Amino acid sequence: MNPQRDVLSDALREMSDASPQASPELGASLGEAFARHHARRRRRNRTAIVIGLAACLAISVALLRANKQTNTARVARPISEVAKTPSPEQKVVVPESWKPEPPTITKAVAKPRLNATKINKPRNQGVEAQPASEQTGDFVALSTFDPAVPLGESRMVRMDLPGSALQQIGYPVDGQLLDRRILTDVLVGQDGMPYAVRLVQTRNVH
Amino acid sequence: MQVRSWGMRAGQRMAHAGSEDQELLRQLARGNPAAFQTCYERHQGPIFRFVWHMSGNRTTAEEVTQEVFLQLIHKPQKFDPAKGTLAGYLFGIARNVMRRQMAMSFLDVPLEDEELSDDPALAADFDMLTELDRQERLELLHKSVLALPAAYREALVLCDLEEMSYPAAAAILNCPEGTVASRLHRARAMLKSRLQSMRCVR
Repeated sequence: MNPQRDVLSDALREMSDASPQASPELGASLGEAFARHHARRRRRNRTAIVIGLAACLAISVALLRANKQTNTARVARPISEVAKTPSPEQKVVVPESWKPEPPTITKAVAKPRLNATKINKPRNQGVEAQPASEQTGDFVALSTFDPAVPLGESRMVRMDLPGSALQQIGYPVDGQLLDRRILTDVLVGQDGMPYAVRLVQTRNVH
Repeated sequence: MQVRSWGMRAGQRMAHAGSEDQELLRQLARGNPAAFQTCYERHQGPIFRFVWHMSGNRTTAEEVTQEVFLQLIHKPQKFDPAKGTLAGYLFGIARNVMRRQMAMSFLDVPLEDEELSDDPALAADFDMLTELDRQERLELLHKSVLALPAAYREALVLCDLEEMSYPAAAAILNCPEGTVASRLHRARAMLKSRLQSMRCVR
């Protein structure tokens, strides 16, 4: 090896070793800058999360409202359609042995049944005397329904009720139907409380 | 070998680089202050010395070092391990920042690039260099290094002062290894000539 270069290299190395260092303040200020930067970043992330959650909440509320409006619109549809599509959780299983045939009650509501025909088919107002076939949907449980009470000891009463009365016992009725009379089968429990309701649609038979 | 109190030379540091640096950087990006401290302690010395030898100005060296680490704090994801080591990446930032700073100042005015002679008389020994007082010698050397043109000075600082390998220096300087070798050779020759002209060598 060239001894001259060795001397130069040694001198350079010595110079490198003797080089000054960065001041400790630089390290401290950079440490602070690091802490500040990440504190800001964490704040930004938290804000983004909060905004995201708020957006999710707003969307959920909007969806719930839309759903509610849809349900109300469903009630506002013809009664026959409402009776066909009760919400699944409100369905009441009625025993097979149970028949809605109390003749006296049926007679009592024979006349009002024509009123129900009026609701569905207003054009047929003049054909009251024609025989009618009826169509019923599933029972919709009311808030008074107690699953602990056996249904076998309950009875069904067919009634022609105004919409407002149905609403009072807890059946969801659209505002437009409050004044109208609706033919209804009411499941009355042993204790005399209405447990469930189903709407009856009647059709004239030619 | 003399041990530095503030860490290894860049060449030694780069030899140890790799997955350790990646893990450090990952922790740093997550906001771990200990990771940043470790990273700073590892790399600030070589970066600061490089800028100091290149600029000859302590303030510039501190400013550039600060800028390098601020960039690392704000954009750690910019470092791509596939492209090289963290030390190389930091040196690259330092070089760019320093260039910008020096373009705006008059610090980087190299002394006249003298025509080098192959005169055997110039290949004198360096006895005087060894005989000089240590402080004088260091000052003289520092001035001589600063007087070199920037391209040669970079090669000399990286390879001779920071003991980097040719490939590592070539990666930082964005040039082939052969270019680094020839620049280094020329830088040494110019340095020798400068020292002779200053009557440090016989």
